[in-house]
Amino acid sequence: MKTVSEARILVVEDDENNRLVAVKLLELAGALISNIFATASDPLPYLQTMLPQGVDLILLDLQLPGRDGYEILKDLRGHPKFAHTLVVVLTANVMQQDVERVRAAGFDGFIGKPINGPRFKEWIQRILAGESVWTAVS
Amino acid sequence: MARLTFNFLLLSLITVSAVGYLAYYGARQTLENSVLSRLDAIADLKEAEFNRWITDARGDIKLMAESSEVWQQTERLTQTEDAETVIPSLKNYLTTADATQPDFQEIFIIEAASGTILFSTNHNNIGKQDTAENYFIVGLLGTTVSNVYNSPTNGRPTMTVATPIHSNSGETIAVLAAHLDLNYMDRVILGREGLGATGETYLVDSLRILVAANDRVDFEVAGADVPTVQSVGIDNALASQSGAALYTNYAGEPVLGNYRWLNGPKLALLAEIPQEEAFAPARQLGFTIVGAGLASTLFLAVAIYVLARRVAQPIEDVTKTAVQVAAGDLYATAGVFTDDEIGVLARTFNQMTERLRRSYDSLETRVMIRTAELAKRAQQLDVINQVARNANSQLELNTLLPSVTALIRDRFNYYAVLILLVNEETGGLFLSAANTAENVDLKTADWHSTPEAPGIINHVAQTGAALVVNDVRQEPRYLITDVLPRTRSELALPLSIGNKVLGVLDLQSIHPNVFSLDDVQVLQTLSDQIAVAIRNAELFQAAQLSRAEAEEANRLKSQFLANMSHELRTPLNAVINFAYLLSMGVEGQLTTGQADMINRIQDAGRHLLGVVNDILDLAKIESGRVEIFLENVLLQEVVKGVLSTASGLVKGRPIELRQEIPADLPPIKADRGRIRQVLLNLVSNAAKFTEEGHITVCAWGDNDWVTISVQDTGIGMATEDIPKAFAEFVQLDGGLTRRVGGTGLGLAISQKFVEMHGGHIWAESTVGQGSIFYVQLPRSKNGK
Repeated sequence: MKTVSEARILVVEDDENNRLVAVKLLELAGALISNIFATASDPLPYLQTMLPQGVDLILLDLQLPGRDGYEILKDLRGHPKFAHTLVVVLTANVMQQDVERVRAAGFDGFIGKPINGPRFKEWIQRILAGESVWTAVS
Repeated sequence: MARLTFNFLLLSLITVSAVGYLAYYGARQTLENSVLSRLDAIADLKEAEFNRWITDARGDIKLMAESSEVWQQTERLTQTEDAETVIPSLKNYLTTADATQPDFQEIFIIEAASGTILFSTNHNNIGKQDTAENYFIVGLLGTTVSNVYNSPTNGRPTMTVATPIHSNSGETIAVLAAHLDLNYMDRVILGREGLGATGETYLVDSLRILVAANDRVDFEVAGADVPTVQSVGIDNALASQSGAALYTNYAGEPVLGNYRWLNGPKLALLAEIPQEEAFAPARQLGFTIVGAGLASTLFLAVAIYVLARRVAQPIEDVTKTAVQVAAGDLYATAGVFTDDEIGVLARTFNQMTERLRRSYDSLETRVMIRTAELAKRAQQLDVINQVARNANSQLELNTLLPSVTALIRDRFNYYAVLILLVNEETGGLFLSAANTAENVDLKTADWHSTPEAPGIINHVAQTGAALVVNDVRQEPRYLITDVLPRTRSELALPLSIGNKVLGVLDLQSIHPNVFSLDDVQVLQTLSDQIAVAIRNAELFQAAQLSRAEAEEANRLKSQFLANMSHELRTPLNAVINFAYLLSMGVEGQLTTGQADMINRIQDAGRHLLGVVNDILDLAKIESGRVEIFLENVLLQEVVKGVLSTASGLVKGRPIELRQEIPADLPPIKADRGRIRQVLLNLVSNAAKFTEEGHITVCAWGDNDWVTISVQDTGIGMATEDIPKAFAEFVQLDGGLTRRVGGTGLGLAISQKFVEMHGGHIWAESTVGQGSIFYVQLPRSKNGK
């Protein structure tokens, strides 16, 4: 169990603005800039090549070029090294059916966009503490 | 025919027999009379002769006795013993007499006093006593002829004549007797003159002994047992009756007999001719007549048989045929070809049989046809039922119509069963389903037509009336096609609902004249069923389509909303959070102006986000995807939270937020989140339109309802505008809206939430005076 300042966090987001927002909000929430990583697509090759030691938390957009969020989760869960990484969805698909599908797929949390900036720190803290966070509409 | 001949024979035989018999009988009668009279004559003759013989014998013996020679000599003999002298002369006389009288066998003299034979021509008898016989006693009295008797001396039948010999003094001194030679008598009696071959006359004495007969039995031979004879004639004669009769004689032979009693010699004389001989001519005549009759009868019988055969053969033929016909063989004909009445009869009979057969055949055919028709009707009705069932169970035309065509062809074994439907756009026909004989290759896609196209099917589609073509080769409208080369007859039926022709059911057969008017009627019913099925299927398809379209539209709407939501949130995330980050000073301290702008960016972003959320909510509500979860809700708490949230909205304005709810107001059954949303919306709206004053939330309840009011001191609105406030995307003052924000969806959403609770929402307002919005919720759980 790590604090925000200790945690290594990977942001997977294809939209550059949103990737930057996530990174900056994490920074604002207390994460070390050196512990925040970001990629625009399938994180597995990135993890395997750049972060072989893995990360503590992955904030994962669902709509990605190539493999989508669900497939990526499956890959991660099936990977010996990254199977237990916390994976929280960070998505603008906040319809009821999206939330249910995410829950059923086995993600560790759901944060809808737009992100509620003022509450973001708290959520990250709770997620890292092992709590489940589902905030479809902020 | 045999019967006829037999009858004829019988009749002829009877006739011939009768004629024969009558002839025989008549002849017999005649013969009988003539024979009997002849017998009578013969008997008379014999009697006379016999009597004459007797009389002669009497006369002779009397004469002899009266001759002096005799009586003198006899007297001497009686007086003297000197026989030696007397006898020779007597002997001489009597021997001479005997000799002259051949009938006298033995002449002898019996002494009256002693009964001793004084003399006899038979020396052996001289001196013997001879008094036993009647002739001695009677002879003493007068001349007598004895009965025939059994001679004690020779044992033979004997007759003796005797006469007294008187002395000179007239005294009877002796009896002169002579035994008669019966041969003469026999000769007289047995003479057969006039008696034919077998007739006879004979004598019977009173002891019923044959004394003169061909069959006479000599006493000597017979000994003591001389047979007696008996017959009707003998009986009658012995009873002293004379006459003639038919009877059975002593020998057991039927005879014609004449009988009489001869009083003199005390004998019965019978003259008899056997009937066989006597009636032989009659019999001969009868036989001849019968023979001739029989011959002619036989000849006639043969002739009749032949003739009858000629006449009867045709009748027999006709009869035999009639029997065959009666037995059910209607193909039997009488083979008579003559020109006579029989021929006419036979021909008439044959015609009758022919007509009978025809009518029977036609009856059978009619029954067969009727039976087949009924079977066909039953089948057709069955198919109709099945089609009706299919139509009810199968609403897809693509499945229904092939099943119908398959069913019809399977049941009726048509060459081809086609269903063509009207193309709504072109008015032409297209082949929708076809079921044809296996070797027929029919591709539905190839069959299209225009309304103006020729052909039977098109004709029916245009006229809406069924068309039967009994022989397509005779039908100019028939279009010859290579696809169905064997079609000979065709029935095209309109598939119509009312006056609207939906299509055509076309049935084709390889046989001509397959479709009767009845078929057309029944199959029209079938067509109507199919039409109904098509209509049902079309309606169903249309319904399916509109439902699918609605669903698709809904899906597209949802998709659009989801996409819109996603596409708006993505940039909003950047806008709102970059503004937030800036406001948090991550890029350095902001000037007041910068901070203000950053705040405005954030507000605008949040507003836009609110719009998106409201749109999604409304869409969700409208699509019925929102459910409410009722629980015990304390309004005091909810309102407190709402006002707390709203406090941020009125920051910087002189507006007092008030909560006036009795502490003892019991909790209501409601969806906490939705109620909070409604109240927040109302309070937010009040905050937006209120510059100063207060916003007050009250709540009170009765047994049924809890009413919540949100009152503000804002700009208010005209009464007629109130309904618009609840409409979607309507805001009353565009300018103001822009200034105060708001999506225009809040009240609409609130109204729907309240109504989902079974409650009501309404407003009272005066322009410039502020507004009061009421939410009334049922106390109990009777909301939707």
